[in-house]
Amino acid sequence: MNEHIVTSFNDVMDELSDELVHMGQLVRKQLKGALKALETRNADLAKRIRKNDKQVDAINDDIEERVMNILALRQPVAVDLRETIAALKIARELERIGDLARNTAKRSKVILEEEPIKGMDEIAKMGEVAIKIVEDVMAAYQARDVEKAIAVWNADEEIDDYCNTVFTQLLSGMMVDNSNINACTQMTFVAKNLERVGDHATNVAETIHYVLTGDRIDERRPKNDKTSSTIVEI
Amino acid sequence: MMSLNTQSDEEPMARFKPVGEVINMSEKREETIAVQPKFQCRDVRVFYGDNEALHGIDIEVAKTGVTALIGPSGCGKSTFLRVFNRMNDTIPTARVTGEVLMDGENIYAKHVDPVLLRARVGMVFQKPNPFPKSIYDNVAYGPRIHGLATTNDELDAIVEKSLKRAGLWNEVKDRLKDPGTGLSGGQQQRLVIARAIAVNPEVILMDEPASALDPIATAKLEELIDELKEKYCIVIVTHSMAQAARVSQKTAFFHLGYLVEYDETQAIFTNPKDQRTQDYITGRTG
Repeated sequence: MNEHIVTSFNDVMDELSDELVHMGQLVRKQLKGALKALETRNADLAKRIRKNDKQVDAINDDIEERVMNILALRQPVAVDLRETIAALKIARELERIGDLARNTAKRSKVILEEEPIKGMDEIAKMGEVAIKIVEDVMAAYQARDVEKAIAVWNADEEIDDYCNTVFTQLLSGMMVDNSNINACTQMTFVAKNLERVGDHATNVAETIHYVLTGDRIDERRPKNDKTSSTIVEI
Repeated sequence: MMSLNTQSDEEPMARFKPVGEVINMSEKREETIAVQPKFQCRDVRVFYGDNEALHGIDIEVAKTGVTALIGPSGCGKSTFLRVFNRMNDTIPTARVTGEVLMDGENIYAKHVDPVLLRARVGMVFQKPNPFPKSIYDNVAYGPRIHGLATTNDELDAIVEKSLKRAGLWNEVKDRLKDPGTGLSGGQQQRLVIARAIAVNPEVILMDEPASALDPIATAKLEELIDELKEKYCIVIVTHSMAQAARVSQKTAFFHLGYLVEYDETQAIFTNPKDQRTQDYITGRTG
């Protein structure tokens, strides 16, 4: 894309974009840390993740302020307007992913108090997919690559499938062995958190699509989360 | 023959004569009027001597509402604005080819009197140009020469109505005999609009009407444009992207004498289709 004639306008737009990429990296790190704390049963790491969420919130505030300034001082139109509004929307999605990482870390406190549960491997795999989807969507944003964004949008189904498997596994586990029912219950929320990470990442993908094309993705988003109606026969 | 009966008190719509098949049902006529554009331009080219300044413009302008013409200096937007009321006729070397239909009739046809045409298609310029007369006489001038009023009371009523419509009445009603040139820039611009409105035009052309006004006077002018758009066809040339976005419903982007893009204003400013439009409105080097 051609450069703005006013170079300082280029600078503020580039800084906004860089800040968002930085926020994406931090959120990915938070998510990875929350899952590592669960897998390695590391309560200190979980505590650190909870504390670090404030950094994510601070970046979100900073991006909001930058967007307000750009709207007030530059009056962006066309692709600049879409970029500016998109930054606000993407930051909000990332902030929510950060909250889900913090919540996962918070739930690990109860989980780590009981014996390790069955099904942790599946949760870990699901977590890897969630981390990958966040990485991919932010790579699509950084490269302004609409094809990559569409690929992320389509990949959300995989997380939904994992979520269904994990959910059924946890319910079955609780029926067989009620000694770690507290941990299993918390773990169902963790699975749901990861499923929501996928949803937020696809929202980011939709926003990227709108920035780059000016059009919305008009198909229905592929969704396969069946946990709300899952019943395990006793 | 095109009807140019400016003495009529009828609404501009009533002057409309449907083109094509004879339509008897009044509802159907109304429907046709609503669809019929005010202007239809086909392959309009303007020459200054041998130099072609506009290269085959095709555009339709709606009967009511605001159309903004934008583009860099020298792109032909002001030249094109002047096509609508044959102001280019006043430049000896200027020549217009193609078709400009107003309500379906060619305004460049031999029998059309440009002076009467300009009563139907008023114009407001960048610099307010009130006559060196009183506020009252500025507005009364047009109705007098076109014989729109037979008594002084009628003329008073036209002056009051026009000043009210231009949003100026309350500011000048107690000093109508004062010179129009004594008003502030913003008031002068609204006085000029009142003068244009006084002869019952159907179209108001504006060539950068707010470029010499401060933000408050600009806001008052834009509020006036917003009110006038319900009744008139307004075409405005502006260098202010923000103004085009605020006041118009349709925007046409001109570049190097070509009409590059013409669309809903909202579409132009959120998702323009042509790279040249995008570069211009976002302030990028093309």
